[in-house]
Parts: sequence; C-alpha cells; structure tokens
Amino acid sequence: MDLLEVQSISKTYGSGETAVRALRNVSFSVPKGEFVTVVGESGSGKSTLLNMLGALDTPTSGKVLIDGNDTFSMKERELTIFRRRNIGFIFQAFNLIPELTVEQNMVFPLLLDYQKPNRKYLEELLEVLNLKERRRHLPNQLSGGQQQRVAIGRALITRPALILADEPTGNLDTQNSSEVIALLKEASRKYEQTIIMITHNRSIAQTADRVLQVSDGVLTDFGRCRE
Amino acid sequence: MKSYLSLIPISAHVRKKQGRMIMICIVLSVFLVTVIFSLMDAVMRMETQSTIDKGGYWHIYIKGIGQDEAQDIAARTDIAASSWYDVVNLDEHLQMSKDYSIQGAQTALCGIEPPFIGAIMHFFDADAQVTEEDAVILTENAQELLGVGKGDMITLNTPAGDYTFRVSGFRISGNGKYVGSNGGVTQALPVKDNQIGAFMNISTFRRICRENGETTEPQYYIQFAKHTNLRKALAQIKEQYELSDSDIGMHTILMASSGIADKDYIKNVYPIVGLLFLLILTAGVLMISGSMNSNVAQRLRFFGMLRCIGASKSQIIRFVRLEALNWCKTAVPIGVALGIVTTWGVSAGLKYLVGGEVSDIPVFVVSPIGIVSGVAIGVVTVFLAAQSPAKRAARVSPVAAVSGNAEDAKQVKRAVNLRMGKVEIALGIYHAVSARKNLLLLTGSFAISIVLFLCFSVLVAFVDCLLPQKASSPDLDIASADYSNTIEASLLDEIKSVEGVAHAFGRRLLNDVPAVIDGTPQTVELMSYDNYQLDLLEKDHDLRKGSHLKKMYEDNRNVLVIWDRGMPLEIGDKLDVNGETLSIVGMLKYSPFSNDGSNGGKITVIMTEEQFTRLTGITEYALIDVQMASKIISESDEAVAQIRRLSSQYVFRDRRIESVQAMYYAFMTFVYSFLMIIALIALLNIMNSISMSVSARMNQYGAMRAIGMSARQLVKTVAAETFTYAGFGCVVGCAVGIPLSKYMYDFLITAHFFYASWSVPVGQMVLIVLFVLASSAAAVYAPAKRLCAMEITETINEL
Repeated sequence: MDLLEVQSISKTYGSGETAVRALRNVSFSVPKGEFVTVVGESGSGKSTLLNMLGALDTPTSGKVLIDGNDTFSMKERELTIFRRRNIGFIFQAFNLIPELTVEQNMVFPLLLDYQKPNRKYLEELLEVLNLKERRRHLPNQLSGGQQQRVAIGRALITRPALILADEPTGNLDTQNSSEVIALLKEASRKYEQTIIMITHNRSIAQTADRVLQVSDGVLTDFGRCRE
Repeated sequence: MKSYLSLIPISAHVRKKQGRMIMICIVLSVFLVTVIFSLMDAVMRMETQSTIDKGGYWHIYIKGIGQDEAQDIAARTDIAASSWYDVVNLDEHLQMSKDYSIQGAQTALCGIEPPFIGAIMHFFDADAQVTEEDAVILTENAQELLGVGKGDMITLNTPAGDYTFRVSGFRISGNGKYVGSNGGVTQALPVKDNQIGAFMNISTFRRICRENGETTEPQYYIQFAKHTNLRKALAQIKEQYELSDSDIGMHTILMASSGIADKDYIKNVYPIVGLLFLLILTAGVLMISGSMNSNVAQRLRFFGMLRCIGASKSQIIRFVRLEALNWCKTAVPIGVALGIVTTWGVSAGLKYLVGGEVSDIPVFVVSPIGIVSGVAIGVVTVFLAAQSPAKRAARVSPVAAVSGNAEDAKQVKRAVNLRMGKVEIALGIYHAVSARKNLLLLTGSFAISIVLFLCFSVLVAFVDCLLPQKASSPDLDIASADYSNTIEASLLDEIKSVEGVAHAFGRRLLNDVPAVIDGTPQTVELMSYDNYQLDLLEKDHDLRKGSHLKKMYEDNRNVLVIWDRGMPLEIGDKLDVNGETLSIVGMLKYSPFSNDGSNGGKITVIMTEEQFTRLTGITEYALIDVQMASKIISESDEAVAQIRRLSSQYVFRDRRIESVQAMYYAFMTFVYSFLMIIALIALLNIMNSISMSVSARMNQYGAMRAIGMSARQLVKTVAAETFTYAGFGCVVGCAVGIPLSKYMYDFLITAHFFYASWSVPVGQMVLIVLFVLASSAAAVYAPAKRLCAMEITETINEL
C-alpha cells in the first residue's frame, strides 16, 4: 500500500511575467518503508517539493495524500497535529533547540503533544544513535555529526510514518555522512518508515531504494535501484 | 565619504525602520522632560506673578534693625527697593484696641517710605504718595465711610492730640490678609469694612507714635535686584547685622524659586523632584539602552565585518555612540517641539478649562529651562544608554562575524528545566531568564514605572493634605468677634434664602465645659453640627475606622470627638457633661479647624444642634459657613455682597479666593498625564523588546513549527517570556517602591500632618498588576500575530 501519494502538484511563485513555476504537475507515490532520495540542481524545486510533502507550504494545484489523508484539506490546527504525529523532519542545519539537552531535544515533539515519552523506546533510540553518553549535553557541546544524530532521534521519536530529510549530510564530513545515512536506512527498515531525502551527493543518492530527480520543476522517476 | 563615521547617516537611512523605536524612545524622554520643566517654569512664573500681585514684590523683611543699618542695607548694590513698614493699632486678628480714629472710624496707622508705593506694593492709585510729611493714603473704604476724596483734609484723633493730613490717594486693592512665613499680617494694612487704614510717611508716623508713647516693631522690607544670588545676599545680611532666623521674614514663593524657603514642605519638595528626575533619567536610559542593545544584536555581523576590514575596538565604540547621537539630531528637536506645543496645550487647558487660580498661567511660554533640560536629558540618556551596546559591538570577534556565527556567539550554558510545566511555557520562561541583560533591562523598566507610580501616589496624597478638597469647605464664613455664640439663628435662615447660596450651616461653640471622663474631672469643648455637616464628614472621609455616624441620628446622647495625639478617649467610651452621660460613637481623623490637623490638646465633643441646645440652652451660633452655588467668583459677587451686608456686625471672611480646587485638579492632571507617559514608555519598551526577541528567534520558531509546534503553542512561549519579565518587574518594583513610598510618605506627609499614616497601597498595587498584565498582553499581541502569519518555509529555508 502506498503511504504517500502525490497527485499533479504544481507550484507557481508570483504572477504574470515574473511568475516562477517551481513545480510542474508532479505526481508520484511511495509505498510504506521505502527509502527515496531526491536529486537535482540548486533551485530545481527539490526543497519546494519537500515542503509540499511536509505540508509546510501549499501547492498552487494538486493533492498530497499521506496514509490516505489529504493534507491540504486540513485546517491549520489539525494539520499541525497531523504533522507532529506523522511526519519527522531532518534539516541540513540540524535546527536543534539550543536551550534543550540532547534528550530534551529528542522528546520535544512528544512534549508538544503533551505526551510522556516511552522510556524504553527513547533508550533504544539513544543506543542506536550512539548518544547515551551525551544525553545531558547541550547542542553546542556536540559535534556536527552528533547534532544531526539528535535531529534524527527527534524525527524518529513519534514513530512517524514519513520522514523528510533536506540534505541531512550537507554540513557533515564523509564519515559522519555515511553514519547518518546508515542510521536512516536502519530506521527505515527497523521501524518500517518511509524516508524521502534530498541530497546533492550522487553516491549517497544511489544507496536509496529509489531515486527521483527534479529538474526545472519537472520530476523524473529513475526507478528503484535494487530492483 | 570623508571618514568612516560618514557611514552613520547612510546606515541610519538604510535601517530606518530598526532605528524608529530608538527614535520614539528618545523623543518620549525629551518630550517628557521638556513638558515637565516647561510646565514647572510656567507655573513658577504664574505663582511668582500671582504672589507679587497678592503680596507685593519683596523678598524679605527684617525686624530689629535700626535706621543706620537700614540705610546701610539700602545702599547695597543688590537691593532694588527697600522701605520701612510699621503699624500701630492693628493686631493680627484685625482688631483695633487703641483710640486712633478719623471722623469716629477706628483707624490703623502705617508708616512707610516712598519705595513702598509702586515698587514694593502696587495696591495704590496713581496719585498716592507719602513723600510730603502731611500726606496720607487711606484704604478705599474711607471714600464711602468718611466721604472723603483726593486732596481733602482729614484729622486724625489720637490720645496725644489731633493731626491734620491731606489725602493724596487711596489703597485700591490688596485688602487680603497676607500671612508671611513667620506668621502675622505682613503688608498692606488689611482692615475690616468699618475700619480705616492710613498710610503715612515713616517720620510722621514715628512722631505720632512718640507723642502717644507707642512702642512698635518696625519691619524693613527689601526687594532684591534681579539676578541677585538670593541665598548669598541673605547669608551676608544675616551675618553682617547678626540677625537670627526669627528676625527675618520671607516671601516664601519668591524665595522658594531660589531654593530658599522657610516652609519645610517646600524644602522637602526639592529632593523629591530630584529623585523623580533621576528615576526618569534611569527609565530613559533603560528604555533606550534596551532598544539599542537589540539594534546592535541584530547587526553583530556588520560590526564583525567592520572589525575584519580594520576597524579598531575604540572605533566601533565611537561609531555606536555617534550613531546614537545621530538619532538625537532628529529626535531631540522633535521631542522639544512636541514638548513645547504640549505645554502650550496644557497651559491653555489650565487657563481656559480649569480656570480659578491657574487662570493667570501664561499660555505661549517658551521656557529656556524646559528646552535645556529636554536637550540635556536627550543627549545624556542616549550617551549613557549607548555605553553598553557600544562595548558589546566592539567585543564582536571578526572571525565569528565572517564565519556566520556572530549571532550564536552567546553560548547556552544551562538547559531548560522542563519540570516547570508545559514545554512551551518552560521555554518562554527560559528565554526570559537566560538573557540576563535583557532581563535586567526589562525588569528595570517595569520596576521603574512601578516605583514612579508608587512615588507619585504619595505626591498625590501629599497634595490631598496640602490642598484638601473637602465637600465641607466654605466659600464664606461669618464669625462673631471672639467666637462667642452671639450670631442670631435668624441670620442663618436669611443667608439660606439669598439667591446663589447652595448651603449655609452654623456651628455653636462652648469652651471649658466641665466634664467627667473615666471618673476624672476635665474640661471639654462642645461644638454643634447640623445634619448636613454630619453627612459631609462621611463624604469627606473624615471619620476614623469604627465610627458609626448613623448612631448620631438615632440617639441624642451619642457624640463624636476629634482625635488628637494623647487623646484619652476611644470610640465606645463615655463621658459625663452637665450630668448627662454621652457615648462616643465616632471620631474625626483630625481637627478640620487647624492647619496641621492638631486639636492642640483640647477634647472637642461634636453633637447635634438639638443636643447642644438641650445641654447648654444656647440657640445662637458662633460661626456660619456658606457655600455658594457657583464656584465662579464673579457669578456669585452679588449674593456675596448681600450676605456681607446682612452680616455687617460680624467678622466676614470671603474665602472663595482661597479655593485651591483648580490648582488641585491642575496638579492631578499633571501627575496622571506624567504617569501615563511613564506607563507608555514601559509599554513601548516591553513591546519593542518582545518584538525584537521574537525577530531574533524567528528561524528557531520556524523550525519548531515545522517539527510540530502549533502557532498557539508558540504564542504561549512568547507570552511566558513576556509575563516572566513582567512578574520580575512587579516583584522588584514593589520591593523597591513600597519602602520608598513609605519613606516618602513619612518624610513628606506624616512629618507635617501627624494624623496621616502610611499603609500598604493595596489599591495602587492592584492597579499596577492590572497595568502590567495589560501591557504584557499588548506586548504579546503584535508578535503573536506575526508568528501566526509566519510562513514556515520562509524561515526554515534561511537556515
């Protein structure tokens, strides 16, 4: 069954002669548990696509269905809760909250939902992410790789069906990049999560189950790598 | 560009919006001070003029010096005019006990020198002079009473013989009893309707006194030249002629403008004004510093870049300071102009709307003191406020700036305590308390407003004591000569029936009435109040706690007493008067019949008229008070003249001119406007700071929104931050303000009005909390709106 279904979405910024068509009639679907990478030049529309999938931005036309839910038909409050519970975000700049410790940052989405974290699952995540020793540390006391691992933990804590990652290795060195990708893949497999990741790195892209390319707002599906 | 500093106006132009808040803060500070000082100046000028009009243009008078010393003093270069003034046959109660008369009318004699007419007192008509030995100036009523005119000859009969004078003119105004700083009638011979005052040359006066064997206490009036250092001149005269304080009388208001005044309360006002000025300065510094800090914080990368391309730390400091002063270039003139125009508006309002004794206030006054103070406060506050942001800008590391980490230079050292409650609230509180400087500035800003509010409340209470606004204040009073019960009750009815009279009420008085209190024989004073007066006691809040006024009407053995220090009676006590046992059912807080509220150790028992008559058999009054329907003096003149005629055989006093209602309302308007502006500053400051804080965290808030924080939760975070500042401000403000309020109250009020005692200003504190809550809510509103409308993608794409 498809977890994500994108139906003919288009996004145009501005109007008239200055109109910029960031996405043109993009359609695709992703089944549950698949690890998809999106590649493309700068300004090709990758981030716009990811923002649409995460319901952070609204398309000019088209629909996005996550687990059968039409995200753009939801009201703001409903959408926020849906996003909080069903989508995990990982950013290039980590975007950790500087005032919170590693552990607090990871459980932050649950706290926003006024839920108590599942201690067992948290311990497991800390173990998997190799952050047990650092759980009381503040973000500014961590390396870039460690910070990104915390961001991954934060994305995983709510066990979302979909994880969206916008160049999560963009600020990391090769070794840390490999570790992060390995972690994401493991999460995808272990927790049956669908991951859509933007990357500029062709070799990382090729480690995914499937590669999509965006060029001038047009999506090309390169198909499943391991099929 | 001639120098790197030429970048300042260019940068200011580009960042116009960011500098706007700083400009508003400077404009407000300058405006506030300009208005305060200009108004003070205008009021001072008005007071000075009105004092000169009412009491003459003299600064001091000296007693106990001889003719040689007087001549010596008159020769001083800093003396503009001086004159002897000596009186015989007029005591301070306007009684004439000696046998001096003109055509049978009792006459008070006054010896003066020519400068007294015109230069010192201008109550005389144009021809009045005492240069000639036989010239006499008479009080205006002599024209009607004696039927004399200018040039007529009159004869003064004295025990030692008759003296003939030629009338040179009349004293046409100034019959008001003007009381000098050390008591007594000081000037232009105020006389009753049926008495005459005669001014004559001092040498003629002395001759008459000598021949009649009179001993007098001459006073030497002195008007100092303009721009004289009064303090110094006074000290020199005192030292040179070995004069004590009791030898010198001062014209209080004229001397007060130089900081010399006998009245304690005027002396006390100066440090208080100084303290308030300092508080405003601090409020201004906190406010501008807060805005500038935020402004600098947003441009750390810019300052880092300047450092990268070779600017030294001191150059950055100079840059920020001059940038601040550059804002003054526009903000100070705007503040001054606004201040002047507002002063005109307030003065016009006072003159035409409030009227009364403030109707003489000059409207289009441009006060140099106001302008200089406004400019000074603008420049000084900005300069002081720029110190900390300038140092902060200079501390920016060039490396941090170019690497893009300038904004993150402040390292978080401690994590949020999430046990405090919901995460969004905990984060908000953390944001507030983690930025120490900001916390200090905003707490300070709120605290200063609260402290100012509490201090001003004391000033309001002080003015309440100084200029009491009592519903019972009479416009006229008619008293028997020695306060004996000799005024016929029918006069009261006649006065009541005069058109234009709102209320008239009489009081009966009986002193030294034997009474038994707690088994001990004592004497008490009995006083009657009619029902109207009794009702006013409640209206004027003149009764002490525990008083039951209603009981006065229920049983005619119930009475009130006046509280005083050492008074042996309490509410509920009983006393026996004329064989009747009276119960005390209430107590007046202070004596309404003395200036300081003291009852002079007497026990005064207030009872209803019926009870008084039953106990004493007296039906006449000792005093009648009249309240006119119109407070406008000219409108009630006719009625007053009629009452004056009705009561010609008694001592009549027109107290309408003493009404201080207009001054009271003028002061209150001033105080509350000032408070509103201070509150506005605090409000703008918190709004600005919260807005800046939200701007600085916009990206972080965007990311939080992306990972599932709702807009509502974000607003709660911002609200928690704001209310934390407000809470700290309230606590610090009250902690400092309440003891200060007590200190000021004791210093200003209790020291002079012993019956007044300080209590925790609960009402004001509730108002403060409400204001703080409202301003915090207002401060949250705009950023909340911005956060709700925030495009998440715009913020996270900048990351």
